[in-house]
Amino acid sequence: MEPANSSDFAPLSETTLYILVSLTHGPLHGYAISKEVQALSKNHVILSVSTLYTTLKRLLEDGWIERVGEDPDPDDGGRPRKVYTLTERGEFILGVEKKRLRALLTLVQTRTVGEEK
Amino acid sequence: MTASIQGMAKIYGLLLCLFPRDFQNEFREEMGDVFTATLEEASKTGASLVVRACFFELFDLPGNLVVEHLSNLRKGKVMKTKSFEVGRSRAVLMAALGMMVGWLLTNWVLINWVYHQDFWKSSQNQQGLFYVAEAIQFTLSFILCGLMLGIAAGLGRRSFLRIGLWTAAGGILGYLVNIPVNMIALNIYLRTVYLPARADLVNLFWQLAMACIFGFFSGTGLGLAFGGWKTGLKYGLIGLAANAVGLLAGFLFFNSGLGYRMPLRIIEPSFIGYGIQGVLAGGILGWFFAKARQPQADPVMRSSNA
Repeated sequence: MEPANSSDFAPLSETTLYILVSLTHGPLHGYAISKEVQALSKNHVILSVSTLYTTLKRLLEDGWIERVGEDPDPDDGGRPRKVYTLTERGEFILGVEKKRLRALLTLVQTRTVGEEK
Repeated sequence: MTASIQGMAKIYGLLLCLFPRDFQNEFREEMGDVFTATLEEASKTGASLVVRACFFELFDLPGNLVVEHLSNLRKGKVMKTKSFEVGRSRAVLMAALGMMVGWLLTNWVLINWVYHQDFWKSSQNQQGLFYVAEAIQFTLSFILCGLMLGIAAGLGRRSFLRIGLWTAAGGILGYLVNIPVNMIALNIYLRTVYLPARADLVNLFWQLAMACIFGFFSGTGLGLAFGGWKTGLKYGLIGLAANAVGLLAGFLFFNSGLGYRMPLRIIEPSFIGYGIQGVLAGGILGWFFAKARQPQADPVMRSSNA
């Protein structure tokens, strides 16, 4: 299901954007998402557990991500961890945001090209 | 996993009880696991990183709690716990005992342990530490009261902790609101201290304002633990009134023939006054807590009896 107006969902918050991007290479469990976001942002964005899960809850409710079972190989014999993945809708939203950011970047580059020189 | 990490994970698990029930059911276990994993990884680098990770989580938690509860409120959900009934005398006794022990215990610690330290002789330390000591003093009383009410209601372990934690969260919020009130009152007090009668009056209103603010917020917390926002507000007002009555009773005792006349002092809490305040405030809260949970008479039965 695609939104009628794609601009309804943009711009995404930094946390949301990083979480969606972290899931583009495949499903991840909560802790892995947190580590991936930290790595992607080069330690600029560190998610607290409560921020991570309140955001995941919202994304689940909006249908941008979904649970796809449990991690079959938990560390240290712990509880199996729930794994999250992007939905089609989530991919669409990410695409919209990518276009928006690209347009913004083009605009900034166009306007500042003279100044850089 | 080291014992300290295990302990911190347990404390974090308890704090997660403050999230709405639906959220807890869905994410509490997962969040606990991720928190433990984060601490374990931090511990590989050094103990300071573990402390940092804990503080990071603690600072971020209140904002997310508010967001979650507001989101629930928007969806028309309220925070409900399982239905329970509690005998009035039991609730009154337990709440009064909890709050009285809280007041007396913290005052005993403050008078015999904290205020007698040489450290306090420096006025700079005195002011800063006074606020910390006061926060602990007030909050502990409300935690104990909330926990005792939970026990009185005979709830499951998680539910009674929930009642205690919500009441404590209200107490902490009340303390934060009290800081500017304290500052204003201290200013007025210092201006009137050369007139003993007026300073006593200012001090009384100061203590009363603090008790009302604490009572309101902790009562709201207690109400929210088992009901919606309306119940929270109702219990906030009951808490406010209960604490005001308790404080005035303690004050009257000291200024009557029963107690000995003693000038009210800012940093010298009185045992009996606080004891009376605790018993009355807790008792009144307990009374309403029980009353609210009394099963309503069946209207069909009522009409058939008539």
